[in-house]
Order: sequence, then structure tokens, then C-alpha cells
Amino acid sequence: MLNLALHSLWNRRFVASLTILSIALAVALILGVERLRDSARASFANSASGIDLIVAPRGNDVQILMATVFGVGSTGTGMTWQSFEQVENFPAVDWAVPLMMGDNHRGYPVMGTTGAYFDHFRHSGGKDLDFAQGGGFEAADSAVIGAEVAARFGYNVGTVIVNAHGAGDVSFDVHDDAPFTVTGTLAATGTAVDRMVFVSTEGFDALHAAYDTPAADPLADPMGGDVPASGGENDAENDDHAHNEHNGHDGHNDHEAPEDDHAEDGHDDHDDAHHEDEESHKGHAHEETSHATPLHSEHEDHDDDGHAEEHEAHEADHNDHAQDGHDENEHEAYGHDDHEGHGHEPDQINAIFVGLSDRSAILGIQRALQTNPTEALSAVMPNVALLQLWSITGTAENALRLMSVAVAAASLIGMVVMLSATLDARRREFSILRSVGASPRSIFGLIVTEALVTAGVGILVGVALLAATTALTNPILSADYGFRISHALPNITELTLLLAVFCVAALASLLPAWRVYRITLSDGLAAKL
Amino acid sequence: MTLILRDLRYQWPDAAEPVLNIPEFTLAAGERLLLRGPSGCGKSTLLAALSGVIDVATGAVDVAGTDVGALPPSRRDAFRVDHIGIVFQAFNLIPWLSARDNITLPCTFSARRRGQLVMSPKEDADALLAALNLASLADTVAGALSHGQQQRVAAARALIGGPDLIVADEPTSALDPDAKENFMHLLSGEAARTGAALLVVSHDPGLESHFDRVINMSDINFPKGAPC
Repeated sequence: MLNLALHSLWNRRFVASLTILSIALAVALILGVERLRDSARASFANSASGIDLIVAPRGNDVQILMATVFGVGSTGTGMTWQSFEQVENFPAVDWAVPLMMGDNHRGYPVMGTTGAYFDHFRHSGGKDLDFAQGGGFEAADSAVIGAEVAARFGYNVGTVIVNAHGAGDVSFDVHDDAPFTVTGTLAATGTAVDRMVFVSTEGFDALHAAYDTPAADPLADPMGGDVPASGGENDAENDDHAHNEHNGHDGHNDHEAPEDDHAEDGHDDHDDAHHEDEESHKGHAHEETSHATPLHSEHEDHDDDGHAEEHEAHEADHNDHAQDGHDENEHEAYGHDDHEGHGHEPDQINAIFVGLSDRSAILGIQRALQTNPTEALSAVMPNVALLQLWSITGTAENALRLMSVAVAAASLIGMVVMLSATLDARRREFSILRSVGASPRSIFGLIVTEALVTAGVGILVGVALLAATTALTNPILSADYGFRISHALPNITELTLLLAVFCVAALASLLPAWRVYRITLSDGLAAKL
Repeated sequence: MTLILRDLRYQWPDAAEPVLNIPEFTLAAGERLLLRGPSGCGKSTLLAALSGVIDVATGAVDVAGTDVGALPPSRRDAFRVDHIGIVFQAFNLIPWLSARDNITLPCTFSARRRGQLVMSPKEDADALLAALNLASLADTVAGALSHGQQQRVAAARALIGGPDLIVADEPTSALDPDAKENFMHLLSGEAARTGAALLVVSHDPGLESHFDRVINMSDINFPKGAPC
């Protein structure tokens, strides 16, 4: 019977293979949606492990999580270093790592942080970050790059890289006057860390301090930084970073110089630097506009004139002992008298990763930060934020699932159409089969067998199709979104889905099979005898 | 007796007159019989009756000891393939199956035919193909064969697994005279070899030499109370 069904399908191989293809696509879609969802969730959960709290300026939990852990978007405003020290000194806090964001390197997010990041960050259920090459920061201009960044651009220890302003993939505002030297590349983690570039907080500040060179003519280049981003030019842009960046700097300086003589403006968070001239910086991905006012006033509050010089002194100094400090993970090792033992104290940071020695202190810390009189801060629990994220994406996931189920239904209907449409043309075939002993029931079985073979092959092709697609798209997914779809064989859930498709196909085939049963009963052999 | 007909009457549901009225007819095991007669005389209806395709009265048709009319419809398909090999006027091969696969079809549906094979279905089919000078075409799909070749494949399909009765309906109508002679020679020879009774219905002249007995339809069938 199977042999007959196979031959019969082979005889109609064109239509049959189209049907198989449509079932295969539906199956690949159904499994793909599931795997995309599972892989995204697993990847997100892996990226966020080991961090008990993320402290950032008051904002949406999900946005804070996305910006800090995944380098997607920004936290908006900055927060003061005083808040960092406050958080660090909470009793239950085991460690705290500052984060500065807002730059990118050829589209990959740049994080300003301390060497402690590499000691405390955990991924994939508690694994340490390992260096594939080199080590942590050695100097202010040190950079540590994720595995993906290293692989994509072929960077090694010693490579000099230049970062660009803004979070987007396309930047005209390249900090080519503040290059960084790669001192370490991280081993692949399969998380967002792979696609990040880490620089020290002092390096991050220095990058922007470099802008504080004497102001150029304010009218020199009214275009500065306002050129709309356009795709495709980016690589060229960043590769030769030869044009336009001066425009950017000039524009930048234009609005700093007249403002006041704060030397620290330049190494503040970008948002600060830009909000002062909203008009000319619309091209940037930041949300300057909404945060302009609070930030601005914050600025004026602390008056660190002369800080820049201190910086320079510190940088020189830092080269000498930075490594020790990082290796031993002791901030104190920096030994800066005037900064309570911290190696470098940026004025503004964007977020703090916090590890707790006692996790039951979370609620207390959240309450303390909420009632903080000086700054509006949020303390986000990564897992809670992830749950919020899933509840947001859940609707879209369900819509996708619904779509894939609809496609599966359509493809199975296509199969029923294929089987039904040929029934009349096959009446002669059926009467021949009956004449050699096939009962109507056998022919009923033949149709069902054909349907099951079609669906079964379709499912197998679909699984293979998904595997091929996964292999092809994983580089893109991991480059752009920091996660991969697992290559694994179907798990129990997926097998259940496949079985469901198979069973629905079997049920659907009963329709043409019943029709053919009736036809063969009424035809008998009479047509030909 | 392989085939016994007794008071077989049949009238098609929408016909005014009965087409069959056969008081008595018998065919012995291993006997080769040619049934002659013009078209429209009930030959095909007779074949339908004895192969259980049409409903007949209980006791009217006995094939290899089984009362065909008493069989429930669901048993008739199995009975037919178990005991009767049919060669059709239009060959009735499945065009997209190979010659060999067409021949082994009855073995797919009948355990009895399978049980009476000398070797495996494939080997028996190949042996029949060799006997019919078709050995080289075993793997060719039936649709690609000539009429003469298709007819021989159809004969092999009727012969495989040693059914009690071989029934052929105008088997030579599509063949040229030389091929007719050749085909009838093979068919009667194979029937004799397997010991099957052979009933050939044909109005072709010149086939008589291959048969033990030749009768006219009008000799046995009396619809409307008179010879056909």
C-alpha cells in the first residue's frame, strides 16, 4: 500500500512537491517562531544573569534593561557619581559597577565601565567572562571588545579603534581624535556582551573631554551633526573617518563654548552635551529633547571647573597603576586621595550594575532609591524587567503564532485540494485497483496514506529548511540582535507541534478519502468491465 | 467444477429487458472455453456477474465452490482477487507503475494469491514476464509499453498466484492478427500450466484452435425467453 501510494505521488510529483513545499514552509514557520521566541528569551535571560539590580535614572524598567544589558537604546538621562557612591555604600551591596553609554563603534554599542565589570558580570547561568586574548583595561585609552566585534572586524590586542557618537549604526560624529587601543578580547558568550565594546570610564570621559579644545567660530559649520543618517555609507564613514567628523566637533563645541566655561561638559554623557542645541542634533538617536531641562539644571549644580585638568593628570597617572587595580578588583588600588579610593570619578554615569551579598535587601534598596531626595532613580530587577518585556512581546508572539498556524492550515487545505482535485481524473486508476482486489476501504486507505506521506515528507523538509535557514541567518541575528537560534533537534514541544500538524493532515485527508470511497463504491468495475 | 451457473438472471436497473437469462452453464477445472457472440448479447454482463461486480441471486453463480451471490458486498472484492484473474479489453494497467509492479498488484491485495506463489511476488512476476518474452521490460512503466506488450502484462497479472479461473474479455481486440495468435497461444499455454480454467469472451474469428470448447452466447443465454 505504501509502495502504491509512493508511486502514485511520484506520478504526480510536480503538484505533490508543491504541496510538500507549502507544508514544509508552514512547518518551518511554526517551528521558527517558537525557536525565535525561545532563543530570544533564553539569550536575554542568559545576558542578565548575575546582576541583582540595575540602578539607573528613573525610567521604564524594560528600557533600562535593554539599554544597560543589551546595549539597545539608551537610558536617557545621566545620574551623578554621588548616587553611585550612595548605592555602593548600601549595606547589602556586594559590588557595584558604573556604566556609561551613548557611543558606538561601527554600530556596536560602547560601554564605559570599570575593570570590575569583567570580574562581576555573569552570563548563561553564572559563567564568568573570560578573555580570549589579552586582559582588562590597562590605561585610560584601553578597550576590551566582545567576541563578535573582534571576529567581525578582525580586531586583535593592540588594534587601535575609534568610536563614534550616538547609538545608531550610522554616525557622522566620529571621535577619531580619541582612539582606543584594544587590550583584551572576550571569549564568546552568546549574549549581548559579544557585540559590545568596553572602555574605561576615564577613557569614555576623555573621549568627550577632547571636545573641550577652544571653541571654533560658532558659525563655522552650521551643518554640524545635523546630517540625517543614511544607511550604507556607514562603513565607509567609519573606516576612513576622514570627513564630517570635524563638522561634528565644531557643532559640538559651538554650543558649549558660549554656554559657560564648564570644562566637564565635554565628558558628560552625550545627552548633556547635546541637549543644549536640540536643533542641530536631531540626527542623533538620543532623546535629548525630553530630558533637556532636568539635565541642564543638574549640570549647573555641580561646578567642577578645572576638572578636565585633573583628568589629564589622572590619565597620565593612571597608566602606571591601572592594571593592578583591575586585576585585583579593588577600586582602592587606584589610590586617588581626592576621590575616596575610586580610580576615576566621572561626573555623570548612565547606570549601575549592582550585586548584593544579601538578596533580601532588594526591596529596601528599591525603597531607599525611590525616596532619594537628590535624584530620581530606579532600581530594576532584571528578571522582573524581563517578565515585563515578555508581557509586552507576548501579544506580538501570539500574533506570529496565529499567523503560522494560519499558514499551516492553508497548506493543509492545499493538500486536501491536491488530493481532491485529482480524484475524478483517477477514477480509472481506482477501478483498476478494485479489479485487482482493492476494496473501497483499501482505496480509502491509499488516499490517507498519500496524505500522510505528503505531510510527513513536508514536515521533514520543513525541519531541514528551518535548519538551513537557521544556519544562514544566525550570523545576521547574532550580529544585529545578539542572539542565535539553537540548532538543536526538535524538543518535546516542537515534536508535539509536528505531531499536531501530522494529525491534522490525517484528519483533513479523511475528506477526499471519504469522497473516493463513495466514488469507488458507485463505480465498481462496471466502468471498465 | 470451477464455474457453475444455474438460473442466472440479470436486468440492469434502468433497462427495460433482462440481459441475462442462463438456465445452466458449467466450466470444469483446467478447461479452456471460448464464448462467442455479437456485441450487446450480455457477454460483459456475464463476466460482471461471475466476478461479483453486480448483484446476482443466491445460488445463481458458483465459482470454485463459493456462492458469489451469497457473499456480502464487502467480501466480493477479496473473493474476486482470490479466485479470479481478469484480463480486460482495455488492459487496465496502471500506467505509472512498472510492468512488474502491475503484475504483482493482485498479490498486494490477496493473501491467497500471495500464498500460491512459487517464489516471491517479484520472482514470480519476472518468471511470467520471461515466459511472455517481456523480461527486458520488467522495470518499464506500463504507459510506455506497446499495446501487445500491455496485453501480455495484463495476462501475466491475471495469471500470477494461480487463480482458479482466468476470465478474459475481448483480450485480442486491440491486437493485430499475428499478435492475436501469439497472445492466445501464451494465454492458453499459461492457463494450462497453472491448471486454471480459462473463459475467454470474444467475437474474434480464428481463435478456436486454442480452446477445448467453443460455444455461442446464444446457446446458453435466453433473454426474453428466446436465444440472444
